[in-house]
Amino acid sequence: MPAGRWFWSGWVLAIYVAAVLLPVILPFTSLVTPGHSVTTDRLWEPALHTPLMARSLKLATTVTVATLTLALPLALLLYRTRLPLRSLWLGALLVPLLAPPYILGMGVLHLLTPRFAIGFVGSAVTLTIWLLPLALLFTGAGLRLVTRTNEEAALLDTTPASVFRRVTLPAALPHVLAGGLLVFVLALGEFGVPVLFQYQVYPGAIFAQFAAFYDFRRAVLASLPLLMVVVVAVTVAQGIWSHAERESEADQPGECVGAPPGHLPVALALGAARPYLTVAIGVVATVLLLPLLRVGSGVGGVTVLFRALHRVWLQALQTFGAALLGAGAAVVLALLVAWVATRLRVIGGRVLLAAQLPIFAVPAVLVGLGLIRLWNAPDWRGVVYTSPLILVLGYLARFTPLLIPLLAASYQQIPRELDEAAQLDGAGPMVVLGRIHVPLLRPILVSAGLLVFVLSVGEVPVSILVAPPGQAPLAVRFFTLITNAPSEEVAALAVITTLLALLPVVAWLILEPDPEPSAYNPGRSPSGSASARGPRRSCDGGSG
Amino acid sequence: VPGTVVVYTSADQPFAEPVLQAYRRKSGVDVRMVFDTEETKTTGLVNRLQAEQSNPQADVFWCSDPARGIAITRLGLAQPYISANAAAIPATFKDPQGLWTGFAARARVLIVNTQRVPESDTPQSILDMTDPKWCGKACIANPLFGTTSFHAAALFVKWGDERAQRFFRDLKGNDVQIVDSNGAAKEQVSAGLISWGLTDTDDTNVAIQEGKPVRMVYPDQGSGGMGTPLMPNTVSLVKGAPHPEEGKKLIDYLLSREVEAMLARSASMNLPLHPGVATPPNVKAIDKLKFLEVDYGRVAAQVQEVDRKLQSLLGL
Repeated sequence: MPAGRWFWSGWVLAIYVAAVLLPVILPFTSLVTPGHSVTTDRLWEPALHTPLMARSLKLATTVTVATLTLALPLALLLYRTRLPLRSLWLGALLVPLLAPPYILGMGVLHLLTPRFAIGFVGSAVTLTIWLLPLALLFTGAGLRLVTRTNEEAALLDTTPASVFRRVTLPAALPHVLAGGLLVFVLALGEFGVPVLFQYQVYPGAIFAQFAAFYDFRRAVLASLPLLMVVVVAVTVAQGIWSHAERESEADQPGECVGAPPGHLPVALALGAARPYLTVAIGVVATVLLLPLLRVGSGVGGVTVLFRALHRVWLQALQTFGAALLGAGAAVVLALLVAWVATRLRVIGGRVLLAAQLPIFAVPAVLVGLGLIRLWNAPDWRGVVYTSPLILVLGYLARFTPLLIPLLAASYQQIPRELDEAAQLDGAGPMVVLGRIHVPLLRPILVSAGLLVFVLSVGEVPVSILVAPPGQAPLAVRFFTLITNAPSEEVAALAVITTLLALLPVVAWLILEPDPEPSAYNPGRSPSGSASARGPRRSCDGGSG
Repeated sequence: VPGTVVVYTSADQPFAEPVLQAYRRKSGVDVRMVFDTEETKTTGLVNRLQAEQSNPQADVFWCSDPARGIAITRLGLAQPYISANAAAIPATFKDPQGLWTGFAARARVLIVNTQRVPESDTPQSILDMTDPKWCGKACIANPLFGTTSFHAAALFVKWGDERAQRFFRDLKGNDVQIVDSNGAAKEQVSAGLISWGLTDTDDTNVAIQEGKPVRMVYPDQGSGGMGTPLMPNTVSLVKGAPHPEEGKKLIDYLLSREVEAMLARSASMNLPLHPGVATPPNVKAIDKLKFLEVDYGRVAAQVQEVDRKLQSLLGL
């Protein structure tokens, strides 16, 4: 077994290094190349950079707090109740993530008017609307993986509110924190939306090094303070997580923690509030969709939409294919890395996991430049570079680090005893992965794939740097047309791009609606309440 | 591959694509196009050209503004090519060594919302931006990027450091809105969110053609006025171009009177630099326009230094 462990760890990490780490790290090598010694000249100009960083932190913190505050009740309603039309509301709430944030911003600017929107308010509102679906997906994933057995056991001797505080929330915490961190990182690195609202932020200083001064080295240097902030944020989140774990263990020494996932969690009773909450969530979904509807209203009719579709159908198909391949590849690689780091216990696994968000926070343009350095060569790599495969590699490099912490958090909820039992039966590591982990993680893997698909469809900064001539994806075409194409055509393209991203999400919601959480029945024993999905086990073997 | 040319262009796709498609039809050459976004939307093609320097993929760089067009020559990304078709283009608009050649210019203009600004009150100079009566009601694009960066550098060259810095400090003091791009200036003035702004002829003309309530004003045209800067497109042969001969032929085509006439007729309404090109009535011939006379090479050389000053001055 140790030989197998090393074999698989070696392969997985080699692929990860080639596909993800090299493109991200290559631009940083310019700091240590001969003749370009590392200096901190103008790395930090207090008068210019301090206020910019302060605004970035204020914006990212506000957006993180706002999205988590909204996501928690929404996720509870959508994932833990039997609210009518849950799939419809979930689909509607995910839509803002499908649109380029700049487009959302244009909608917000028109709706709120510049008088109210210019500055911090417009930036924060737009980014909150754009990133809320992410926080919702992550929080929902956490709440869905909370095991029924744990909650039912706790409900025997305490109130539902206490169960939520002591069992549900701590169990979902890794996902909530992962979602919060991701929102923080994305809001911190966002440049297009703040600049639309004339709110100058730190990423603007990095952008200026690229687009105004064409100075790669200074751009790389300027990105370091941003990465340091992300490292601090990850450390703080891990501290909160560890603290919560200790508290939870101290609070419930005899609790059956680590029961297998897949057991449908307990449904929260809505009682008389049910119709009001249905209306409330409908209102929230409508309000969040208003900016996009405002932009979509510029299309001017179905004929315009079809005319635009006729012009771009081939590009739409290529975009769809590349995003689908990128999403599939990113999910597989992220799963393998999470598996190696958490289950095969490779040396440095914890560091590897903690490094993922800082890696994701590296400005996308640096990843694009890294890909060019890696693949634009007059040998066999040039064949890849000049083909659409380079876009797939771009999505893989860009979004795999985003999925690894999510899947690692999900692994926390699969008890190791399952692996050990399978190994006693002679199963090798790949069999355990394929036959036990993948089925248990399937809902998360599908969600993760959809997330990367959606982000890939909207990806611009890497795509514009590496897309082969004449094969720019739809989102790039949108941005190359946005300035002076007829506004109807631009609006139609925004709608087509959004619909393209929506397609698999709708298919997923129709083909595989979330299973309804079942009602709590105090007459049944915790161990007897397992659902049909997932292996059964008793609380006796709890990992504690 | 013979019969192929790869062109990277920062000219707006709606204007550049028909021109390049016409060349494809005319020559039979497979023209592979990579378009750019506005400067503030992505880091764009200059970075791509720079990153691909060791194994260039592009043959021709067609740039919509002299700031980036001349920047690539300063970064060592262009090789000389003097096209015979450039002979009639005034020397001001081309590099003597053939590293870049200008054609089909845009002018810097004021876009004014007709519903918010009565005709009698229409501003006539960029200096009106510092007038307290327009406090908070006028806008410029981020002066670190694109034609606005070149315009700013031209003002520093024309006025000198002290006066130019005072002008930008006054803009800040008068709460002039700094929007992300010229396109955003057009959008926000067209929508009536801001009364007027500084942008380019193509943006303003597109808004007019779409029926938006805006008028175009060529600023500083009166007696004693300094004139408004012209922003020629530029074209360069990329250093190490994989298809240099096809690249040169495409450059010849882009520098032809035919293309200047085509761009003048398009919604971009570019001002031809060849003398005597027939233009539609809404397009001013450059000899009918008072334009800010500057040395383009000297201005381009100052852009980055000016950008750094403005970054500190305006907190960008």
